[in-house]
Formats: sequence, C-alpha cells, structure tokens
Amino acid sequence: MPREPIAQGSDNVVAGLPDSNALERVGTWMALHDISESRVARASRLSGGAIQENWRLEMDDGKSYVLRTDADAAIPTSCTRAEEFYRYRLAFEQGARVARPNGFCLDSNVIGKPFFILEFVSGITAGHLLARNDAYVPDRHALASELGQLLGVVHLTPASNARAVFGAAPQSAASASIEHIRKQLDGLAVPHPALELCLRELEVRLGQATDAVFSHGDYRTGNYMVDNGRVSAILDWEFSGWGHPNEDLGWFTAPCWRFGRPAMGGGGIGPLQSFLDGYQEATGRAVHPSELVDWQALAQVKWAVIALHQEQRHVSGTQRSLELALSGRLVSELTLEAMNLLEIR
Amino acid sequence: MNATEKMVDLLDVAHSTLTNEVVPSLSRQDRYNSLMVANAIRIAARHFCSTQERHTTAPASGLLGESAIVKGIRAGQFDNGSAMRAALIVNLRNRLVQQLAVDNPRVLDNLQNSSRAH
Repeated sequence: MPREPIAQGSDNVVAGLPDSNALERVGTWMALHDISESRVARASRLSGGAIQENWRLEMDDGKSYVLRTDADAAIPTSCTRAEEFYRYRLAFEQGARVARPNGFCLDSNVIGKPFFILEFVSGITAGHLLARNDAYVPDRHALASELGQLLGVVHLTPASNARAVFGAAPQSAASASIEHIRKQLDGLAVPHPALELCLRELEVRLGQATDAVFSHGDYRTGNYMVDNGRVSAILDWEFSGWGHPNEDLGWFTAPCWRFGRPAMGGGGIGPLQSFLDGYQEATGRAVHPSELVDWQALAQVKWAVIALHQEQRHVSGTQRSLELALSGRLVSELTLEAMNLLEIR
Repeated sequence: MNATEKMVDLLDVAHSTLTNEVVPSLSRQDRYNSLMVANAIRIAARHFCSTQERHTTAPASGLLGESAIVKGIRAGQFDNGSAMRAALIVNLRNRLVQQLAVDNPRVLDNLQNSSRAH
C-alpha cells in the first residue's frame, strides 16, 4: 500500500470533482461553512487511497485544503466518511498532531458523495524513503521519539470523550480485535489454519487484557507525514476506536512495518527504544520491548488477513490490480514471522 | 527441456528482458509497475519449479479437512498440551516454508532460523 509524496502539479483527474461546476459548488459550500471565502481554482488528486480519495484544493487566495471522500472500492473494515470525520475531530480536539478537520458535507448535490475538508499539510509519507534516506530523517532517534510521544497523546484521550464517539469500551479490546480478525477470516473462501492457530494462541495470552484507550488503529510508517525531519501530521484515522494501547504499539513496531530495515524496531525509521522512550515521556508508562512481542504477532496476523482480502478483491474481479494480487504473496512470510514471535515451532 | 522446464525458461527470459532492457529507461511510476510485473513473473516461475519438484503436500491432517481443523483450533483442541498440536505445527510450518520458497525465498533462511527476540 505505497503512498506517494504529495502529487505535484498532477493532472491525474477523474470524473466528478475536477469538473468546474463541481469545484464551484465546493467553493460555495466552503464559503457557507466559513471555511474559505475564496474560489477553488484547481483540484488535483493525491495518491495513496485504496479506501478513500484525497484531493488537494488550491484556492484563489493561495491557500490549500484537502477534500477527502470515498473511493470506489472499500475494504470490509472501513468506516463511513462521517464516522471518520468525527474521529479526526476527536483526535484534533485532544491535541493530536492531525490536519484540522474543517467541515463535513453530506449533501450529494455538491460532488455526488459525502466528503469532508481538512487543512492541507505538507510532507512525505513514503515508507521506503523515510526508512532508507537520511536526508528525510536526519535524526532517527528524534523522529522515533516524537512518534512515540504523539501516539501517547492520542492514548491519553479521556475515556468520556472517546465514549462520545465510539460508545462504551468493550470489556476486552484485545478479544474484540481477535474476534474481528476471525470474522474477516470467515469471509474468505479458503480456511487458513496457521493464522487461526496464531489467533487462538493470542486469545489465550491476551484475551484477559482489559485496558482500552482511544487508539489510532493503523499507526505505522506510511500513515504519517514528515516535513524537515519532524512529523507534520498523522493520517488515516478510519480504523481508530477503542483498542488496547499495546495494539497500536505492536502495530507500529511489528516486523512487517519496518520497510526493509529489520534492525530499526521503531517502524523502520528509528530505534525501538527511542520510540518507547517518547511514549513514556507522554504517558508516564514504561513499556519493555518484551511486552510487545505478542502484540507484534497480532499485527503480523492482522496484516496477513488484510492482504488476503486485498488478494480476494483482485481475484473476485471487484478490483483487478497487480498490486492487490501480489499482496497475497506476502501472507506466508507474515504468518511464519507471527509463529516465530509466538514461539509456535 | 520438458514442457514445464520450457515454460519456466520462458518466464526467466521474460523477467530478464524486462529488468535488463526495459526497466532502466522507465519513469519512476512505470519502473515501480514494471518491477511488480518482474516480481510476479519470478513468483510464477518458482511456483512452476516447486510443483514440478514436489508432489502436493499433504493437508494439515490426513483425516481432517481444513475447516474441521480450524473449528478444532478455535475450540482449543490444539492448545498447548494437546497431543495433536506438535504434528499440526510441523505440518503448518512445512507448508508455509514451501510457500515462502515460492513467494519470497530471500527471507526464507532468516525466518526458518529466527529467534523470538525483537
């Protein structure tokens, strides 16, 4: 799921939004909602959305915004754009480093589908560049630590605020997560006993864990933007919700999200300890790397199941794509790594 | 060369032509797409080779179907201490290793011998 840096001067337009009438309607809607008095001069599509489309809106006054709306295909776990908007707003109100959400539009007369407007933030997201090119990350300790701190800020959200968006917390967020993955496995045509065995092991080990916080749900390299070596915005909140705090930590540090830098346990971009130190600085909670091993195994399993669904989308004809087809070729590695982490050998 | 070997050879030469003669002159996005195509060709070639070399691996159990095994796993019948667990693990790991030899052999040694420490 590679995401390119912000498209520069892209003419990669699709039907709907770039139409001048649609742009005029968006501009009118933004003025009505006190977002901008300026006209939309131009819209260019930003890359990276299998689940949603992101458009950069360049205004006559020189400012830019991002319009986020549904893509044609959605994977089973994605939420509605309205739900996602409320998640962005919750994160923003808690002081998380996230692009300011400016307004949600349900009126299909504007662009034909719901959308919301975010502040435009510059930066790059491409994991392979952040992991391998020091020009983008001059201080790897500092970036890893900052990412730990920023996640801590999200996890410190008062439970009452999270409840207002997500309802009551589950009795065990870990069990809920495992159950969710099982349901996704049930939606596949073929059984996957190795993944099932890992999930069962995780259920035995983690099923009693009761902590639940506002979790990002997809906090990993590739889902935040870096500008001048610092995080400019955390992206993609559609999977956020109640979660055990270690689930986010395990997802960020899992072997599958290190972008070819296995020694860089902090998401491939920096040392694991720096990431955990930053997290402790924000939350006061010291996490030992050994506490995360089971959660990293959960991450491997979760990504394997997502990859299987992506492959199925291709195979079923829903969305023919070589990239989706190749996702299925990741599953054996992801599963074997999960078994190793769980010492199932 | 038998028919399968000829097919593998065809895929090899297609891969070599693509990576050596086409990719170097491409733009960044075209290069990315072409390298995905090259990867897919290599995976298909390794799949042909592996199916020629080995007969189909036995399912996870000689008697039980995969769905029954999954049901048993969820019910805890293969938990630690169960008599059937060791045989299931050996079978599952063997199948994963064989599949990984097709999908991404570069990481195979590392994952077969990796320790738990991360």
